[in-house]
Amino acid sequence: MSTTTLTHPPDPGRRWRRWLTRWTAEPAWQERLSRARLPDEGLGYDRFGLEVEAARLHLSLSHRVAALGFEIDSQGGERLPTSGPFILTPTAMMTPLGLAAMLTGVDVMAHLPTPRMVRPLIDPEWAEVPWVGQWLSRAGFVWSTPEHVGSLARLGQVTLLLTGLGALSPKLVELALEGDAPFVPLSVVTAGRGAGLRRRVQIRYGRPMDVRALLDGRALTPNNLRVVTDELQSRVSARLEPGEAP
Amino acid sequence: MSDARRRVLITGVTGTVARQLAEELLLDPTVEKVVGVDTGEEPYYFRDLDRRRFLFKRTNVLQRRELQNLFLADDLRDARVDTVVHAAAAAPGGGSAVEGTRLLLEWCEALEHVRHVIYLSSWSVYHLRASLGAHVNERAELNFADDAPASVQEQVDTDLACRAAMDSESLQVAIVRAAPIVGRNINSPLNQLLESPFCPLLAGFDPMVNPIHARDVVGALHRLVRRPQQGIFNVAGKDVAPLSFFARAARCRRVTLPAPLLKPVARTMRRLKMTRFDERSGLEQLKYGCLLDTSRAREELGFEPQFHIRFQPEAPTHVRRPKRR
Repeated sequence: MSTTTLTHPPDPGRRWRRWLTRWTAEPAWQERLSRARLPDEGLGYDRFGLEVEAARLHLSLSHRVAALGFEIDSQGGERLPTSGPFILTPTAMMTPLGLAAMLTGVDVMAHLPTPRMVRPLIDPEWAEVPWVGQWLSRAGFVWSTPEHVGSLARLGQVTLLLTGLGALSPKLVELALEGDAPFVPLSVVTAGRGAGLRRRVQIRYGRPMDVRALLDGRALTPNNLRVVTDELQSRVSARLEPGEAP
Repeated sequence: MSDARRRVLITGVTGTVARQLAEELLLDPTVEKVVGVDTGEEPYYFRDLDRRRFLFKRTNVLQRRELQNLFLADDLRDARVDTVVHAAAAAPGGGSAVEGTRLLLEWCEALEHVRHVIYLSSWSVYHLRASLGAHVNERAELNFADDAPASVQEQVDTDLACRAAMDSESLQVAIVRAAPIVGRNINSPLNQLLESPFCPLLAGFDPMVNPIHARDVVGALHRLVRRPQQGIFNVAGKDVAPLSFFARAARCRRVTLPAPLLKPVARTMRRLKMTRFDERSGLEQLKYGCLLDTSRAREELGFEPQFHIRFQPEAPTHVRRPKRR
């Protein structure tokens, strides 16, 4: 073994993922995907397991599914921060959660001027499922731990808490504060049938809430952190009710 | 850094990392003397070194009597080492690493001229599981599981013995927990896996790894010798990719099997010398990723990995088949 740059070993999987992405994505979406800044630590992967080509394929397939099966009515997308990290915190989420994550990912990608990828946090138990866990991590899903929220915030990424308000804990809020990531309320709910067999889905984004502003100059003590977490929870849920425009 | 030139004792000095460290320290003008200790005869490659600055002692530091003889020997007393780099516990065999390390630490505490101990530990002390994380810091839970492989339990206990020595007032102890080390003649499980003609992998799982080049580990240890500090430091390499990526880069033939089959097949392959991977070290490392958070080493030691990992452009000779005539 020597010490010069590591070259990519031939990977036929990467080639067919690229080909499938080109085949499934519409030209406009393909152009958007090509402009998206996907996390890459140098070899086409990030440390959470995302592989750039697999993530593009996942987004391309998600866009197809969203276009074929759903009518998305989205409001508040202009409030999303255009740069830096933020944490999407659901107040209401349609089931299955994987579908809600997929539709949110497509919608965020479509709304931001510089397309960005959403990293949904899912139960680490999925990592135990052979092939499924592997695909989920390659497609950009991240195992849900407070430390991962902190890491994603430090890396400037967009995080989606699938478990919603229940996931807010003082530790998570502290890590978000360290990474300067505001919380953005989100609701994804179904609203009856749309044209044909498609289901109508309402996606609403609230105003980003800065934890530092909530802390209001108070010292970061465990007690203050608990108070801020409670305040954040009540504010997130008050700002945005399911299906209600913010 | 203090003005005094360092006098360093390295245990397990014939190991790849320790040997490279000894050679690098001898090029460092701030190091006055290097004492290398190992169980075997002095290897030929040490004979060319400057004998005024390098001393080789044949001792098994993991044995009580031999350790006592080492520290009571005249030449070692004259050397008055101030820094001990303990790399022997990572080397396989040769006595109980835990007990030997405890004895070594006791001796270091008893000798007033020894002030710094640096212990080379490994990432395998962490408890591998799905929720472990992509930034495993030094505070992460260690593997105290009863069913953990014996080698892992021993590493955890040795690590803990060094941590306990941090309470000592006379000693400054640093623990370097290195990501899987890759390099020639390295005994890390990942290196053994990648150096084999056949590489057993777990079907449906492909953990992320960021192996570290042996020279980067040497660099981190060297920094600690020059600027001793107390604490635990994770060090990892530049490259982050799945295990299968490195297996492809190493051009070993991947044998991907489901979990119930992998252990017996890997055992058979090991016995037939088709792989150097030891399935007794646990299959968790083929299932869960463990990427170390190196921010502490970066901030406090100024450590940045310098070397990418690259494998030979040709397949290793033991993989190539002879041409039929």
